[in-house]
Amino acid sequence: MERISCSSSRSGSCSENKPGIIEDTFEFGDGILMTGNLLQEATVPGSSFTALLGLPATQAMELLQEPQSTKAQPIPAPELWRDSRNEQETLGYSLNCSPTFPTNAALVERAAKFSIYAGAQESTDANSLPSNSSENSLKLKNEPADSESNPSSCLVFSDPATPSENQKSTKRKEREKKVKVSAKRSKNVEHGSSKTGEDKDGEKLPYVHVRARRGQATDSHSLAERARREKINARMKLLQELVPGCSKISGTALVLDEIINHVQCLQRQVEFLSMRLAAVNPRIDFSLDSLFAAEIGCLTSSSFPSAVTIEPLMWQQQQNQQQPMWEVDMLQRPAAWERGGSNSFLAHDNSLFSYNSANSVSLSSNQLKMEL
Amino acid sequence: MVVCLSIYPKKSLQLYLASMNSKSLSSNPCRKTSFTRRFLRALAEIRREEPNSSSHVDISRRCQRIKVAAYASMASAVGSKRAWSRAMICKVRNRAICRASMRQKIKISKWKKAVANKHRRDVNQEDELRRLVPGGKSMDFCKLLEETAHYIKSLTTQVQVMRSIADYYST
Repeated sequence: MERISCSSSRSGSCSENKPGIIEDTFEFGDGILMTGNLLQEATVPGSSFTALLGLPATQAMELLQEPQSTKAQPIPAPELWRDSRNEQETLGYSLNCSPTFPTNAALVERAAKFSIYAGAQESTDANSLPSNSSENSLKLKNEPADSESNPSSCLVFSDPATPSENQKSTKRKEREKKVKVSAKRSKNVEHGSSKTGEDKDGEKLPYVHVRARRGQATDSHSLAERARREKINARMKLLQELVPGCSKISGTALVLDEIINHVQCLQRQVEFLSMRLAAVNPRIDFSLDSLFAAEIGCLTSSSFPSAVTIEPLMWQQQQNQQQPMWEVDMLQRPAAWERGGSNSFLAHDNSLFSYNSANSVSLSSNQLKMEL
Repeated sequence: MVVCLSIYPKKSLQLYLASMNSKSLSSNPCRKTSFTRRFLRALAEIRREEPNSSSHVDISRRCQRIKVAAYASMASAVGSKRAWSRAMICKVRNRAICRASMRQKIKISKWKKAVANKHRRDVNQEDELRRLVPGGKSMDFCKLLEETAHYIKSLTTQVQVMRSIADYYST
């Protein structure tokens, strides 16, 4: 229903009659439509969204108009099927349905869809497996489908359908699966869930081999699971880049181990460094300026004084060497402090500044200019 | 020659910060500088308050305080944007508020948990990660990964800054 409303605004009486069935019909119809679309644009999966949205719109238009003219709900299914089939034939692909069953075409779609949606978590390698599974699910689905569908309308529908549906090819099922995967993504887009934000347009979905599971009721669960898994994979990639040496590792468990190891290592380092800082000579006082200078890496060879008595010597040494930034700072400070009048500094600094005034005033002004 | 300045006039600080930013410290210079500032302030405060003795008890206590100060300053530098920083700030505040009673309770509960974990052979990685990242218990896995990435980034900057400070003071 949402798809219809999204694609076209004219979801008229047809949508009101029996939303459930029509939604179903549109679902597998859209699947078929998307098959055609995807086959057209096989190389650009990312842009298939607009295509997917575009095509159902036109088809939905036709479908909505046609059922209104015809009689009952099962009719839209054959109409849809015929239209989509014609569409597909124009594209040059043949439908793949076993000719024995009247509603086989619809069932193929349904079954393939079910199989992909239901069992999307697993991926098997063999090509034959999914086709077999879809065939099995086909046969499984046939009975309930037979019971539910209107035989007369189906018969009407089946006659034009059967001649063109003679071939069975695994390729089509594969394509369907690709379609379904992208159909799922388009569903995500159209349903407007928050998970759609996570879908990356450029991301290529892998070829999904799925095993059919009977009894998987709705598609939304597997859709949600798939979206969630994609989210998690994206985050894992980010983490792999952050943690060194993690990009080579494949497999979630090992990567997680590495991440945990890294976090523990960093926390241990913090603890170790705090121990070091605690054990540092307590007479050294912390000065923000000098430390900032160190951060920048300006200080190369200046040694940090540990006692006030050494200061005059240090001053002379520093004057000989390159003038680090904190000297400028020291000279800046008296001015600031005199203005500010913070008591804690003045008591300490009086002895210092008596040294400053004579030697480094001229130098400091130059340094200040350099700094600024 | 450089005298202790726990409270520092902002003008010169700003000059230095400007010069620092221009030199492109890291991908997030603001966070790093604000962390450095807060951490140094906390360090100076700790230095002032505690007696400068070299006994083991004092050193270990100071070490603990410095560690808490480092985490707290990192969390406040990051702000409330991240779930882990909020959780960290809350933890530090709670710790400060009710020290004695909570510590005992925390010790007992942790001991019990350790005992329980010993019986469980395979500790799930996800639970482990939840334990490591602050505030990780009440997050879904996807968000936990996101927070872990940010936490690792901040931890690396924290370690960098602390290491440079320690190196600077030990030379």
